[in-house]
Amino acid sequence: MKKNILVIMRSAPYGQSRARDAIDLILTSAAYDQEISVLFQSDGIFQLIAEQQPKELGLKNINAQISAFEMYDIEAVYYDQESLSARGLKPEQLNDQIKPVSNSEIQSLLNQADTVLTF
Amino acid sequence: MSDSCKTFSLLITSPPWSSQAHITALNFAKSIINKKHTLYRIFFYSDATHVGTNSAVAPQDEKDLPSEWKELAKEHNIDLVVCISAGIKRGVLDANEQSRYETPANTLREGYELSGLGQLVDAIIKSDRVISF
Repeated sequence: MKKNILVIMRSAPYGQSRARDAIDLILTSAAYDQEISVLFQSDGIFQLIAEQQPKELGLKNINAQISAFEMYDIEAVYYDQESLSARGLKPEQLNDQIKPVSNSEIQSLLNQADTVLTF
Repeated sequence: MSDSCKTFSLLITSPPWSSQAHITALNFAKSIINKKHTLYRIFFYSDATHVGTNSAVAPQDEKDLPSEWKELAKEHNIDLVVCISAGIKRGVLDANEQSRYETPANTLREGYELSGLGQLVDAIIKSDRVISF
């Protein structure tokens, strides 16, 4: 059986393990052949910053893991445009594999999902 | 909203002792059962895995969360799964992991099972609703 799972990433990439834990779940869901979409929202936007240097922190690069989503056939990966502008960021600062979505598109992502999990 | 029976699973990521999440989740679990819905699995992830440590002792004047989960699960035949990757780095090891990593003790509480994230994906597949705490 296949479910449509939406994972909403609302946490900053470092400082807590929520982003990393969510990525492990996303990759596992993909391995189990589920239909998965991912939405980066709120401080989760910071996970997408292209120039991250977490080596300084002794941590793995979250954005590099997100870039690997494609290899697992996870293609429905979006960020919330409003969260981006609220943080004074520009689209060109982000991982360019991720597509922007508006509020109404977020509504339809939520409507389509069988299960929504927020990290 | 129809009152037809649904299957629920819970994903718990918050720590047992420094947040209220487990108490709320326990109350929610009991309500699911009282309303005649089915509770399929409780999956402990991240800091919630501390609940599966058999060497933790609840103070006498506090709720004994690990035992309450265990009793609820036993009575209603619910899976209590501690995430293996999140658990072992927090010192929650069953007999297999204990011998694999040669640690001093089996620290998984009786009534709990140590297993992979696939068990959470399976719970998502088999449940109508997955609620996070």
